[in-house]
Amino acid sequence: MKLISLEIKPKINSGWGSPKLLFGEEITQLHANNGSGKTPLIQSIVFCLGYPVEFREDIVRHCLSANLTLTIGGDSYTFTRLYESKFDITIRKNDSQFNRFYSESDFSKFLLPLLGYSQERLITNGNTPTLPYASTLLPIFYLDQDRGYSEYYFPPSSSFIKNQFSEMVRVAAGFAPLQSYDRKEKTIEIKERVKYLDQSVVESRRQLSRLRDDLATPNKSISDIEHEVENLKNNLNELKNTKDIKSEALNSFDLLIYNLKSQHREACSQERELKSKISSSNSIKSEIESEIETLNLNEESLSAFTTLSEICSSPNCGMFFASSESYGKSLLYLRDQIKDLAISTATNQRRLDIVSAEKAILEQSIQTLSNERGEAVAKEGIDLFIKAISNISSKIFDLELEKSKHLRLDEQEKNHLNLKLERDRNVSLEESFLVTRDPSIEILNFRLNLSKEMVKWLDILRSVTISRDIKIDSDFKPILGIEKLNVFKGSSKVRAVLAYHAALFSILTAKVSNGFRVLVFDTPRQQELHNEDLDDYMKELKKLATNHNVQIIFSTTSYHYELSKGDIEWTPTFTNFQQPMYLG
Amino acid sequence: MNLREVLEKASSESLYIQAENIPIARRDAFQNESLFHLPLIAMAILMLAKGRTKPKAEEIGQLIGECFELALAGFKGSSQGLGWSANLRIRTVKALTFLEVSNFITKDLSTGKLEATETGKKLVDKVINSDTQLTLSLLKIKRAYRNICKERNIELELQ
Repeated sequence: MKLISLEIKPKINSGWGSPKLLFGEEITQLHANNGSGKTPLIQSIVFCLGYPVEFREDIVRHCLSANLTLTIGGDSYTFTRLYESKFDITIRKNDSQFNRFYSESDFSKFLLPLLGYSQERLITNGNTPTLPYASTLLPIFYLDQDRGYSEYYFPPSSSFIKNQFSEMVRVAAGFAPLQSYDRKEKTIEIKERVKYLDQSVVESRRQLSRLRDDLATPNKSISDIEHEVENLKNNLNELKNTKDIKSEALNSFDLLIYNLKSQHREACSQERELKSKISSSNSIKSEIESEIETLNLNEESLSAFTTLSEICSSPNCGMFFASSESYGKSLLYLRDQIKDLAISTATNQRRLDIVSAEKAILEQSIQTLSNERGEAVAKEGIDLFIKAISNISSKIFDLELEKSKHLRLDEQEKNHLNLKLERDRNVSLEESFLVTRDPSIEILNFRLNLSKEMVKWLDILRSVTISRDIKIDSDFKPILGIEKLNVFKGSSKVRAVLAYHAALFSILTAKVSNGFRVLVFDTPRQQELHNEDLDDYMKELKKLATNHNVQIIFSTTSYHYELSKGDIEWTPTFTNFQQPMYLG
Repeated sequence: MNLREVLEKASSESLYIQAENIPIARRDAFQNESLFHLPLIAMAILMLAKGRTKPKAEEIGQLIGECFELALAGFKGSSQGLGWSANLRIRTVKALTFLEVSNFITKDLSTGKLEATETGKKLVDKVINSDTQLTLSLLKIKRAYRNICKERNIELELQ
């Protein structure tokens, strides 16, 4: 998603409007005095995206509609929302298709899937089903001028979904919901799906190993094969154009023999490798055996100690008891390991046999070709020529065949990897439906990353009073040291909230390319932050915008951010008031 | 034959110098030493023994090797390459012995399967609920173990 422009349309008589304001590729700054209309513009952006905003009376009286143009996946959309009605949004796709929404739920049902968010039914406080709303999700990406800086998540109306904040972060990050309304039905469905994926993974791995076995044993890379084919083709051309038939034909023999020899060399090196594996597993075996021997020595020493009655005459003497028990166990388990090793040695032995056989075949072909070449030296003319050509073409044919096998293998490897990822996702989902559950891998990883990222942003904001020992609890709320947000006041609180939103935004937009990709600040509390701290924060956000291809929008009065490439500043253009205004 | 002729000959006969690929043990690289210490191995064994599918004692060396390989980014080696095996196997055995002697794990004598005791479970649960990198790694090991078991079962069915 990329925001393109915002335009406020005036009412027909004596209305206020704005020119078409273009968003910066990366940063959009609204820099103007207090009271020049920054907030209504910022609010209009989220207003168009379904966020409920109560505008000042004069805005409602003078302005007709807010028009937000943005692109989602290559298509252009214009969202038009009327100021006067309670909820009335028209969406125009590529200037042709119309959709008009009169309720927030219909609008959210349209917008959220379009942005790539999943639509799982959640549970409200009254235990009824509900879908996530755009307005419940947006507070993650939009900080309201007053209340946005006092909480990590401040919904426009009081939370009505159970664990609303946690659920919204889960929606934004693409995790399974904490409490899904359709859990029972979903559980069965997911179980089936995981079973199917497990089977597919095994199938695909078998396919993979079949394809691998099918390849000629000295394994060449595709580029090697291409190189060889190229050489042979050149050779063929030379043969065609040559006048000295005999020497060229002999050359071609040489080339073929050379190729075979290099294959032979590779087979030899593979053989060597396998032999070394087998010998290393033998040496492991002997290492384990020597370990066992040492244990036996210990055992014997122990009995020597116990037999000497001068030390202790009791038959149930507890001397070395604990260690003697552990000797026995180690002995037992080590013997088990030897069995295990035997299996892998057998596998390697099988492969060694295959390679050796291949090597023998190669040696034979080299011998045959060399003999033919020897005879050819004595022969004259056309026979030799035909023989050489047919040799080369059949070789080229073989190589092309091998290349196609390689390509199939590559394809299969890619499929296999995708299947495994897909399975991982689904297993996580399955686990999330279990009643007693360990934390999910993805969510834990997300939380650990979030806490690391938050430390980074707190450092950028130079907040000295907040502990860097940050834990993100299972509802995605940070615990700073041992303190929660509500014990902080003033600038520390603002810094914590700013750091949290930047950290969350940076992680949410790191890997995926869908969803809301814009972070909107309505006048970050400047009186409570030093300008240089805010400046460092903005510069870091600029880097984030460049790296993650996202947009940052913020308004400011005293602090001014130095624009660079990809940034735009909106200044008020209507001068026939007491001070320049954005709307007029 | 002068140099020019050599070069001409070389290009017309498509000679190229083959750099042979001889596997040599890389002594300059770090070994897996840091992964092979008893506490981590013991914790991993405990994690496997706590799950629903109990591992067999005789397979534990191989299983831990495979799980480490699938779950831990720092692990160098492969289930075929046996570089890690001697060390890892002996230490796995030591860790297992420790767990059993200190009563974190019991071995079912009839099936040869390992099972975490209540104390063992308590220990793992404590780690799992601590939300640290260790938790993450243990969860990944658990996932790897799950995948290994499921796949093995399916392979057996197919045969």
